[in-house]
Amino acid sequence: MIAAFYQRAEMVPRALQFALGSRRAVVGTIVLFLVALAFYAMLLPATSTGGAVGLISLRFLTLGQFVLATIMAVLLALTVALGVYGIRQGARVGPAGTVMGAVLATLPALLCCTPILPLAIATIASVLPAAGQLGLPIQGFIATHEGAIYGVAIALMVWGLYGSARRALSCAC
Amino acid sequence: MTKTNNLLHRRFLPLGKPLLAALALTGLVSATAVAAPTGKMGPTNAPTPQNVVAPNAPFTADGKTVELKTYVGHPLVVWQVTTWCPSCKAGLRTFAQHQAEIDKSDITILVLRDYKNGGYSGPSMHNFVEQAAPTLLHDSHFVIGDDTKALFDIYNPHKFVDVYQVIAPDGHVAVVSSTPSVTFGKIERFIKPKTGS
Repeated sequence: MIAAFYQRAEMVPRALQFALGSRRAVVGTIVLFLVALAFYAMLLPATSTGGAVGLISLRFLTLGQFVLATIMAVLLALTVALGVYGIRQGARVGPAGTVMGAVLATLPALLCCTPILPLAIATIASVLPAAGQLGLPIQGFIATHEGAIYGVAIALMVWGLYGSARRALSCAC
Repeated sequence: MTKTNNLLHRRFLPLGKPLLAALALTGLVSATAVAAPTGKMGPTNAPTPQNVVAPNAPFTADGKTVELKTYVGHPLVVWQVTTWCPSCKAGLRTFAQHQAEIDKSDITILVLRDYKNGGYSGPSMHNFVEQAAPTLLHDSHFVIGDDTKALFDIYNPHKFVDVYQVIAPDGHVAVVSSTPSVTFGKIERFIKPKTGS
């Protein structure tokens, strides 16, 4: 079982060697990482600002949140790199199709696995006070399980990265 | 016709899944954009109330029932929080950072736990304040307590988890806002050094 896990995990660096084989891919991935890092670094501390995202939330960034933001940004940037590589290798489409495919290959993982949706639910719960009245204290649940939610999000992002690596390797033979 | 159909089929069928995914993605992005956090833990940009006299209401602190009218003649902040709310914790820290300034003024900050804690369990007020800003517990300018249903219904009808009113010395509601961690400037206007001391 451990050997099988190792074999699967080993796919990711192998696929990344292909995906980051060109200078352009490396530069693009670094740029995306920095953008994603800035995004997460502003998003995660928004719990301390009542949901206000931007430079104002950056003031409340803690070391733990910065580490989480870095992990999420790395996973996102690498998944995008693998997604772009996979599309380039596997599909005979024009540039527009390639861009669309790259975005499609990566963004669902971004949306399913980031704290955006939990925060959105928290926002909905706060503007619909009936939720609290009806015994649906979603905000309270999210606030008290924040760590677990981020953990699940990161686990899903890792799973997405592995899926992208597998697809990229199947195209690179 | 059949030839055209075949061509369409050949050209666009492989795009079927990406197109579906694109549609789903667009929907998700739109939903996320609409529901994106915008500071709705309370009304951060509520208009200044015009000529609204702050109603009297009771709250409990240290096991005693106290009435808001006790504080008439001095600026008063009635801040309602829940003890599971991260922005409330950040707000406590913000108050602690301005504690010296507050101590030189005649303002009182009432930090009251929402009635039933916003519908979700959490630590007691004492533990909550102790975790976030313990120095506030022994400061006479800060009164830590709990809402009564009457006060909650009057001052927080929309059941926000982090909301405050600043009541001017004349008993009028001067500010309604939320999240002191980012709106402290609105409170700071009422923190003035005591006169005649």
